[in-house]
Amino acid sequence: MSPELAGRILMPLAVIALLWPVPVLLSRARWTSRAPRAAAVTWVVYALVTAYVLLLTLALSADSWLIAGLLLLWMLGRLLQTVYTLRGSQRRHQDALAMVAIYDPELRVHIIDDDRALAYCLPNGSQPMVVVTRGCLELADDTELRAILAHERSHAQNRHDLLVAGFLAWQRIFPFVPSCRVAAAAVGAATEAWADDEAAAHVSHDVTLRAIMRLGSGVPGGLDGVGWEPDAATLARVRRLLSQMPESRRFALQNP
Amino acid sequence: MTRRDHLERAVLECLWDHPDGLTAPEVVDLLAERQPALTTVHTVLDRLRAKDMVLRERDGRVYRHRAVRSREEMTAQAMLAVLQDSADHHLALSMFVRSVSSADAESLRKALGAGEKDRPTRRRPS
Repeated sequence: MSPELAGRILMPLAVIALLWPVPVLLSRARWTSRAPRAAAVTWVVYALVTAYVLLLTLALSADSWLIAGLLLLWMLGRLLQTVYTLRGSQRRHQDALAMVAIYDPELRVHIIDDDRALAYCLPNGSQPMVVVTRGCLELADDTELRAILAHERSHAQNRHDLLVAGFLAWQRIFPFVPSCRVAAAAVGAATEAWADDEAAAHVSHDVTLRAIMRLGSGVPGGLDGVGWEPDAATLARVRRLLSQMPESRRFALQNP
Repeated sequence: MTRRDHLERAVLECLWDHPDGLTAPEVVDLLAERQPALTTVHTVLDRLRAKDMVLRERDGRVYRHRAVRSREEMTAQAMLAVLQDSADHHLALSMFVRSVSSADAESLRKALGAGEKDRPTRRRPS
C-alpha cells in the first residue's frame, strides 16, 4: 500500500473510529467499573492519541500544516481558557470560604455554617481543599463521616481535579462531537468510583453505601423505607458498591 | 489559612458587626489586641475591595468602609455556587453526592435576589 493511500484513506478512517465507536465502546466496557484507575488512564491515553492522529491526518491530507497548526492552536487555546476560567472561579470561591468557613485542624476540613448537607473537594493548586457543611456533620454519624472524608481526600490526593478539568477542556475543544461529552462523563464516573473504592477500603462497603444514602436522602437515623430517588450517576455508584459486597452483607444491608 | 487571610477575616468581621460602616482608624481600634498598623489595615481594606467584599464611601473628609454582603449572604452565595456547579462546571469540584434538591437552590437564589435589591448600588473605587 502506498503511503499516499494510507494518508488519504486509513488515517481519516482512524480519526472517525477514534471520535465515535472507540469512546462509545470504551464508555460501555464492563471492566471500567471494576478498575476505575485503569479506566481513567485509558481515557487520558485515548484523548492524547486522538488529538495526535487528528493533527497528523490533517497535516498529511491537506498537504499543508496550516490547518493542523490552526487546530493545534485552537486545542491549546481551549485548554488554557478552561484552566484559566476554572482557576478564577475556584479562587473566588476560596476567597469566600476564607471569610465564612472554619478550618478544623483535627478533621482537616473546612466547615461551612449551613443546614444543607454537602461535602466536596475544591481544586486548589497542588492542595485541593475538603469542605463540609455543618448540616453534613450533623447528619452523618462518625463512621459515615469517615467514609465521606476518605472519599473526598482520595479526590484531593489523587488530583482528580486535573482529570476533570482536562476532560472538560476536551469537551470544549470539540463541542459538536457527542463522544467528547461521553468521555468527560465517563472520566467523572471513574473518579467517583476510584474515590468510593478508597473510602470502602478505609471504612467498609456498607458504611460507604450508607454515607451515600444518608447524604443523598438527607434523612438521619435508620434508612429503612427512605424514599430516595438518586440520579443516574449516584444509582450507578450504589449498584457498583453493592455488586462488590459479598452476598451475605448485601442481604444484611437490605434487611437490617 | 494564612496570617493574611486571618487579618482579612478579622477586618471583615468588624465590618459585619458595624453595618453603618467604619473608617480605617476605627478598625485599628477595634482590632487593638492584634495591634495592626494603620497602613496594614488600609492594605487589607484595599484587598477586600479588590475581592468585591467591601465598598467604601466618602463621608466628609474620611472614607467609610462597609461589607458588600452580610456573613449569611456570603455563605448562601458560596452554597449556591456549589449547588449550581453540575451544569456548567464553573467550579469543577467533586461533590460527595449531588443531594440537595433544586428547590433548595431556588430558595437560595431567591434569598440572595431579595438581598441584592436592598443593597445600595455599588460605586467603582475612584
